Amino acid sequence: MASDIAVEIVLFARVRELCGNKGHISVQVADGGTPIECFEMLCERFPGVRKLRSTLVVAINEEYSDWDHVLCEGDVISFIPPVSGG
Amino acid sequence: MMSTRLFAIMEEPISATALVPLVADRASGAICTFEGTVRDHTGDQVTTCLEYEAFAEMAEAIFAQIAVAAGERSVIAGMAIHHRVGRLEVGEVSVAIAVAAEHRDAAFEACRFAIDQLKTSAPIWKKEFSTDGSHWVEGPTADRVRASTKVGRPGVLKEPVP
Repeated sequence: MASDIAVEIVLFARVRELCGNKGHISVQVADGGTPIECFEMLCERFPGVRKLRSTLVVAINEEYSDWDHVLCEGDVISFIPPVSGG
Repeated sequence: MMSTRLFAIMEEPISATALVPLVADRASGAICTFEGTVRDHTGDQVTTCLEYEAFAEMAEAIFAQIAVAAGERSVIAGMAIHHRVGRLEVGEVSVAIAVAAEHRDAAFEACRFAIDQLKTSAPIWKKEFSTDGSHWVEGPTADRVRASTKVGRPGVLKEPVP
């Protein structure tokens, strides 16, 4: 039986504002889950964030990663909107 | 209180001057600094203030990666990068960079490389407040720090392993 794993989603800037201004959200994904499923969960709770999908880049544990990266228990995922530092 | 960390996201005011002692080196003949400041307009819009937000731990790690990548392109002795977060008024410093190198060409090149990379790679966002309201400034889609792939140009620290 596949068990769920707990991961944390941290949210910034426009993504944070579209997700109820929460800084982080804990979710459970099925073993073998990826940021794709995490984003889908986010969209179910906060439909407004879906429109940003094509502009977002995934970071896992503070490093840029890929949407299809298989997650591990305790991973910290972020969906990074277009950056504008400087 | 000034930070002595080379790569930092700061809530307090920052300056390039404060970074110089962190990179200064007796073997270096050049220190190049850059400060980005809050401009009072964008196009025809009057900017009243900016609010910066960062994924601090990741941004600091990216700053360190930028310094490594800069060192692979140019012969530099040291680099420091600070970026401010929170509300900034017109004229305040949002980003400060200092680079020390034996010679000026490398210092200029690495400083330019650092700010360009920061703008495309660091998870930092600014919200612009104008007389008409506020909006997130949408820069480039975030990208990884790009190291030099040009082998053999001056400044490549290590030869590729055969």
